[in-house]
Parts: sequence; structure tokens; C-alpha cells
Amino acid sequence: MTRLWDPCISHGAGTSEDFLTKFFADRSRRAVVIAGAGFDPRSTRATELLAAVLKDRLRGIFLREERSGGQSALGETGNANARRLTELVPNSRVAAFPVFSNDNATVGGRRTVKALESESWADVTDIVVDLSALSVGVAFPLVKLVLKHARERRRNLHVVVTDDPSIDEEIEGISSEKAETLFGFKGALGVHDSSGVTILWLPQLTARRRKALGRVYATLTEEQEVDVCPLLPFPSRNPRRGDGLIEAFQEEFESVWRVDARDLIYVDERKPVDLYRSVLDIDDARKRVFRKLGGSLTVLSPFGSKVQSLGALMAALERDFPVMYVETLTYTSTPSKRADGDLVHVWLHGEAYGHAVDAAVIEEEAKCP
Amino acid sequence: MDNPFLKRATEYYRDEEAFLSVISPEPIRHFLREAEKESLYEKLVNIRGTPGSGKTTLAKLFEFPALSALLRNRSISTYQDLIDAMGSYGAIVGGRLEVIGCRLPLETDYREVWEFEYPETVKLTLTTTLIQARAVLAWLRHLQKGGYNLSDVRIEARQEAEAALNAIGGVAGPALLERARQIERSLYEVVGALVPPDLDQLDEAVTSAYRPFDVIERIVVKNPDGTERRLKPLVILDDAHALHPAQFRGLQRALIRREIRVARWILARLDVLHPKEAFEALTEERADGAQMPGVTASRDYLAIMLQSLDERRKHRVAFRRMATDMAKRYLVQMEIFRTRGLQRLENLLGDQVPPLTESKFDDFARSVDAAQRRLRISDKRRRELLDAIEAYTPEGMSSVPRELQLAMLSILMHRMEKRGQTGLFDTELPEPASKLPKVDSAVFAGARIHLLHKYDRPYYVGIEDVCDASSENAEQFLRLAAELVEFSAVNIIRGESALLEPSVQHKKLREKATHVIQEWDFPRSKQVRKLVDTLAASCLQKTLEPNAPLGAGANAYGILQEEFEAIPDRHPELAQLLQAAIANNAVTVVPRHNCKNKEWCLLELGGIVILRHGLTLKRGGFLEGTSASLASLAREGA
Repeated sequence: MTRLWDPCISHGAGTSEDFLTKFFADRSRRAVVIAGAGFDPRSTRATELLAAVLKDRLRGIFLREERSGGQSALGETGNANARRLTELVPNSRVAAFPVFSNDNATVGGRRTVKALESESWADVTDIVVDLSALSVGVAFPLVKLVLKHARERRRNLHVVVTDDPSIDEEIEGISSEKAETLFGFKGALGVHDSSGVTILWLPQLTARRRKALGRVYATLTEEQEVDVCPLLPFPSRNPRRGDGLIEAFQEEFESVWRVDARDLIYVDERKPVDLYRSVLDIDDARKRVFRKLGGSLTVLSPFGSKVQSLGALMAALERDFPVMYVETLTYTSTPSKRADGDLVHVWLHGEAYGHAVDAAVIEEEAKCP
Repeated sequence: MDNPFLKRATEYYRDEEAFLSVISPEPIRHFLREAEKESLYEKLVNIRGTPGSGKTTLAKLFEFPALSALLRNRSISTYQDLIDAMGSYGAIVGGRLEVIGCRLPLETDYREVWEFEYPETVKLTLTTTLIQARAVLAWLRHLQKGGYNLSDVRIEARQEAEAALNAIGGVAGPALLERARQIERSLYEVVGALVPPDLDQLDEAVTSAYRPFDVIERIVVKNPDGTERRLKPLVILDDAHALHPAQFRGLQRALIRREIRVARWILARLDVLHPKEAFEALTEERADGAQMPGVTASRDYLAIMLQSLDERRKHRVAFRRMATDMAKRYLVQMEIFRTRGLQRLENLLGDQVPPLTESKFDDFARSVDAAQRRLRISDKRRRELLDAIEAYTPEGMSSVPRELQLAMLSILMHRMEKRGQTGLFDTELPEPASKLPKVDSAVFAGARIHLLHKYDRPYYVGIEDVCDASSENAEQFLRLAAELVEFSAVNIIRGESALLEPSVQHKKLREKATHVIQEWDFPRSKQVRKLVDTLAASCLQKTLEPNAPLGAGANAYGILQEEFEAIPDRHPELAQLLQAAIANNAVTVVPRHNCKNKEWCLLELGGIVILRHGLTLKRGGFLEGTSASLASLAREGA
């Protein structure tokens, strides 16, 4: 079966900057960068690079996720990052929206889509989404929407992320009480027609979201049988990260999820495409086996590093996998270090895959009111 | 080691037999004891409780698969109690099923409908339509899984509902299913879309008059022998607190209508209510829930609160019975205990608290002697007090251990001081002695808790303390019990006794409580943690006063009842904070507590908080306060 991103044009440590610099040096390219303007020290990294290359050919849309009850210091850092981003890209706007409604319902994904729903892409050849400082609940629907627009309007779509799992580990928060599917990523979960399927849950683990992962499992298992195959990072910067996770989730593995060594899936921490391919391979194999047993439904939970989340996003976009997640209600601590991780780039749509981006057509569109 | 106590009840839901094996009939009897069985199926039933109080378990038990499994296994003697209990509430009559229940969790999909930019009436229609379609699908799915052929299923429709009957697909099972699937698919497309369609673009299927709840009277199934069974449809809407408040109210209004023939229950947490409504619900003489315009609670709906507000002593005893029964059912699932004939948790919990070591005792004796000198109490008077202490025998004990006697003596001496204050230079005692302070259970309780804090003498010991520390919450009980069971199993593996020493029980319970509080991550949990820590510290200070004025001490903060009721208006931030604390078992509200000729509302600290701070589990001791000072404490923690 052909896959959307196999082969996939992606770049990792060291090569991303080089590629982006050369690619956007072409003066016929005009781009829009969509990034998070939050407290995350990775907020500005990709935009700095793009602004340096594209200069006035770059415009920006910076998303400000608002959560109540957090530390005021986080808000100040977020404001500072937002200011820095708008300084880097003068032709830009900041779209602020609440991630939770007054009754604590998760609305961030829907509000993101609303903020970008009527966005005109007429003046650009390339759309770059920087996931580094966006929460999963915002990033996933955002990329889904922009991918749809990029396909319809024949634009290039790039996704970049500053890879630093230690920053992801450092950011602490209070989880919402609800495990739910991400906005736009329901798949076939919960409908009558899929009530007989066997669910395969592929959670990306992180020790600080242990309770949230427990909530996802509890929600999934309420009605249906669930097999669990945790995704663990290996190779990884810290070679013991996977072992540490096994240790942290020992109780769940033994007493609740019933996971043994054969169920563990190791994916390269720095390559989103590795996770994407592994998930699709497993899904293909399960579908064959369960075809006559009511079917199989793969559910993802991207609690791990940003790079791995990108791999999960690609898999979910391709196969319409449900994505179960527990959104962070409020953040309580912020990483102190500067963002010095590697920039990872994945080209999601456009010329690289034979979908020509016609600069002349774009020129015409831009002239239309 | 597989420890069933560590599993949430939901872990058992997929397999009916496994689920039934851990279900105790006690909570059903207890919570539904005042409900008339007809009301359960005629009126809207609102069930409210804290997380882990057993709402979903109750719902699961009334579902068709669980009831069918129960009847399938009716010959097993352990299920007889449960069958009797279900019979008492009309689910099983004459050994046959009377209702077909389905549970719909409202946590997903439904709330999203409220985010659409449609008028509220449209959003409510979409909500109720999705619920009704999914209820029909769930009833039919349960029957199919139960071995019935859909062609042997039909409905009995309400008279004069011909048009509505056509809209739901008619009376035959297959047509009903197909129509419900079509409705669900259309709605799911709308709910799952990144950009919802404009109002005028909505599929006709989802806005048409699809109202099976108004039509279906009974679901009739044909048995293999040709006879028919007429089942009363029951829909249980679980986790309704996930809905938007306006959506929740709208749904209640829609389901309260008397024309509806389907039995319907709404299960929600207390914090679904607006703070004002929640406070009213908590302080009403009977928990009748929120008032809605034109709706009279007793006439139009039945309210059931899974938390004791009145007759607290009775509730506590009932919970202990229920929890021990539940522990028994969990314990027998662990081979390590079953094969050794260890079937009851209480038998694993030793209650003989070892005496203080000699050095600690001597140290304590010296401090009591010093107090005697400081208080200028004569040896003769001390002897009289000791005689009275020796004559006292606490309930369930043959004698008072010597360190407790000494602690009681210390309390009594300080009480004497309070009675007759001497002047600064007096060398003689005044004459307080006309009457010695009374030696009673309060002095004994005070001595126990003083020794906990002075010498870490085990305090939380035995099954009753585990039950009482659970704040009448089944999940909390299982979490605490899991620690003890795990340790006992490890002892067995090491070849040691399964019996847990009191010091081990005490230590494990307090460690677990500290861990649970650290792990709190519900909305406002940080502020709640700070507030209860501050309240607990004040309670502890009062508890450790040398004369133990409240006996076992304080574990609650009291506000005059009228002040408490005004909190939502005067201190809205505090109201929200308290609501979060109450909804998550950090605090329990005890309304209308009479003391000193005044009516108080007590904010009693939850069992876990009590364990963490070493306070008494005995109820009634409280600090007198005001809502203003509580609001100021809450602000400090913000």
C-alpha cells in the first residue's frame, strides 16, 4: 500500500538549518510562519532562522494559548516571546485564544481552527508551521487544517520543531480531568459501527504525565478490549531514557496495562518518520490479522517529545487514527534553559511530492481582492 | 504481582462475570434505600457524587449485560444477595429481567456540540438527538450481544405517536437500528468536522424529529421458545458534568417531561452545578439538587446523593460494611491470599499497638513530672487522678496501656489548671479539687493523638480506620487498602507473617495519603492543597493543646450556617475553590451542625488530608471561624 510520506523529505540535526536557508534563499518564495508565542524557550528559534533568510518575504501568525491560573512569570515570558516574534516578523499578527472554556471544556483546537479558518494563503508559496511551542491540542488540528488548505490551494507545507526532549520533560502542569479525542482526530472511535473492533493503544510515554496516561487508558477500556504497546524512545540522546520510562510505568505495565517486553516498540527519538512508519507497519499487520475478528482500531496518545508527536501526527493524518489526549489545564513550571536542541524539518506537502506550486498562479491570486 | 486493589473499577467492566465478582450489594441497598422502585423508572433520576463514589459502577450494574450475567449465574450462591438487591429495585422480577439498561458516557462528543455557532435550541436538539440515537443503538447492541436476533426485536410504541414512530424507523428492530446508525453517522460527521457546516447546510437527518424517547414504551424480544419479554428501556447518562452548564440544564429540562416513557437517569459530579446551586444542594435538608423554574423536585424528579449529608453515623457504619465486603471480594482474587485461606482484609491488620520503648517512656514520664511541678499539683492529687484513670476501661479494651495512662494524666492535670488558675506567687493549690476532671473517652482519645505526635505511637490502625479515612469513597478505600495488601503479600513472599503490625499500617497509610495529595491535579488543586494544609495545621494546633479541649481534636472548620450559605454571593472565588475541594474529597460539608446553641456548617477535612496531617478521624471537633477569614486564607493560597 502506498503511503503519503514514504519516502518522506525530512531533515534532522545539522541539515535542517542548511536546507531551510538554501530553500528559502530563492527570491520567488514567500512564506508564512505559524508558531506558538508562549513561554517555551523554543518559541522563537525557527522564526529567527526564517526571518534571517526570507526578510520581508516572510509574514507571521503567532498563536498565543491562554490558560488561566498559571504562574504570572510564565505569562511574562510568553509576552516577551510574542514581542520578540513580532519584532522578527513585522508583517505579522498575534492570535490569542483560550485553551479552555469557562467550564473547563477543551476548546483550544476549535479556537485555533477558527483563528485560521479564513486565512488567505494567496500571498505565499510556502506555509511553515513551527510546533516547538504549541501544545498538542492546538498543533494537531492546526496542521490538519493547514494541510487541507495547502492541498486545495497548491502550497508547500513544512513542519519544523526544535527537538529537545529534556525541555518537554521539564515543563510541568496540571492536567485536565478529561481524557478525550483531539479536535478533528476522532477517527471511528465511539461510533456504533466500530463497537466490535479491538483497540490497539500506542501511547508515547512520559513520566510526568503518568496520571494522564492512566486516564486515557481508563477511558478507552470502559467499553472495549484494549491492547497496549507503548512507544519508547531508542535510539535517544539519553540512552537510558527508555529504561527510565519502563521503571516509571512498572506498576501500570504489570498490574493494569499487562504489557510485557514483546509489546514495547522502540522508535528513534530524533526521527518523526521512524515513529510514523512503525505505527503504520503495525496497523497494517493488525488489520490483516483482525480482519475477520471484528477489525482493529489504532489509537495514538502523543505524550512524548515534540519530534515523536510529529510522527504520531503524520500517522494520524494519513489513517484517520483517533488521538486520545489529556490537555494541560495550566502550567506550573517553566524550563530555565535556553533552546539549544536540533531543528527537525518535515516537508508535508508540495513540490517534493509532485504537487507543483505555481508561483505565477499565486501571483494572480494575490492580486485578486 | 497483579494487585486487583490497584485497578479502577472500570478495569472490570469489560467482562461481566469479573465485574459481578467484585460488586457488593451493599451500596445499592444503601444509596437506593429510600427510592420507590416505580420512581426509578418513571421520573428523571438525578444521581450525584464525588469521583470514585461508585456512580459508574451503579450504572454498569443496571446495564443489560451485567443483569443478564447475573441471571445466568443465579445458581452461584455468592450472587444471591446481589440478585435480591436488584429485585428490590425492580430490575429483576420473578427471576426475569424487567429492564434493559444502557449507559452512555457523556464525556466525549456531546460537549463539543455546544461550541457550534448555532442557536442554543439547535445545539440542544443536536445533543438530545445524538443521545437518543446512541441509546437505541446501545439497547439493540446489548440484545444482539446477548444472543438475540434483531428480527426478533420490536418496540411497543406510545399511542398516537404515528409520525414520531415513522421518524425513528418504525417498530421493527432492524429498521430501528438502521435509522439510529444513520442519525449517529450524520451527527458524528458534524461533531468531528474541523469546520462545522452552516446552519442551513445541516443534514436533514440530524434536525428532523427523531425522538425515540417519546415513542418507545417497551422493547419486546422473542425468546427461543416463542414467548415474548417486554423490557422497560432505561438510559443512564453518565458523567453529565462534562456538558456545558446550559447544555446540562437544557438536557434535564428535556428529560423531565412526563411524556417520556423511557426510564432515564443522569449521573454527574457535584461540581456540574453552579456554586450557588451546589451550596444549596449541599445544605438542603434533603439532597434534592438544583431547582429549575417550574420544576418541583419531589414531584418531577428523584434526587440521589452518593454522599452522606444526614444521619452521618449510620452512613459511616454502612460504608464500613460495604468496604469490608468489597475488600473481601478483591482479596479472594489474589492467589497468594486465597490459597492461604486469608479472605478478609481485617484479619491482615493487627491491632496490638506495642508499648513505647523504655527510653521513650522514661522521657515521657519525666516530662509529665515536670508538668506536675509546673502546674503545682500535689502528689496526692496526682494519685487521685491516676486512680480514676486506672478505673477507666475504654470500649473494646481490657486495660489502658501505661503510656496512655500517663498521657491521660497529663491532659487531666492541664484541665485542672484551666479550672483553677493560681496567682503568680501562690505556693498552695487553690481548691479545684472539690471535683476532679472527668475521665472519659475524650481524654483517652486526646491521649492517643498526643502520643502520635510526641512519640509517633501508631494511631491509624485496623479496618475501621482504613474505612473512615476513605471519606465514604470506594475508590479511595481501594487505594488505601492496596498499600496494605501489597505489603502483606510481600511479607508472605519473604516467608514472614501476613499480619501487618500497627506501626506498618500507620506508616503505609500516612505515606499513601501524602502521595495522593502530592498527585492531586484537578482544577484548582494547588489552591485546594494550600487551603487544606492551612486548615489542617490550625486543627493540629488545637488538637495538641495540652488539655486536649476537644478530646481527640479538631478536623473541621466551622462557619455559621447562614454565613456559609452566603459564600457564593459574598466570596465567589472561595465558593469555586470549596466546590473543587468538595468535588474531589478534600473537604466534606456537614451542614446544620448544632453546637453552643448555634447552627454551624462544618467543612470537615477529607480522610486523606486527615491522615496526612495526623488528625483525628473522629467527627465533631471543629475550629470556629468565619467565611471572611476563610476567604482570606483562600486568597493567600492563590
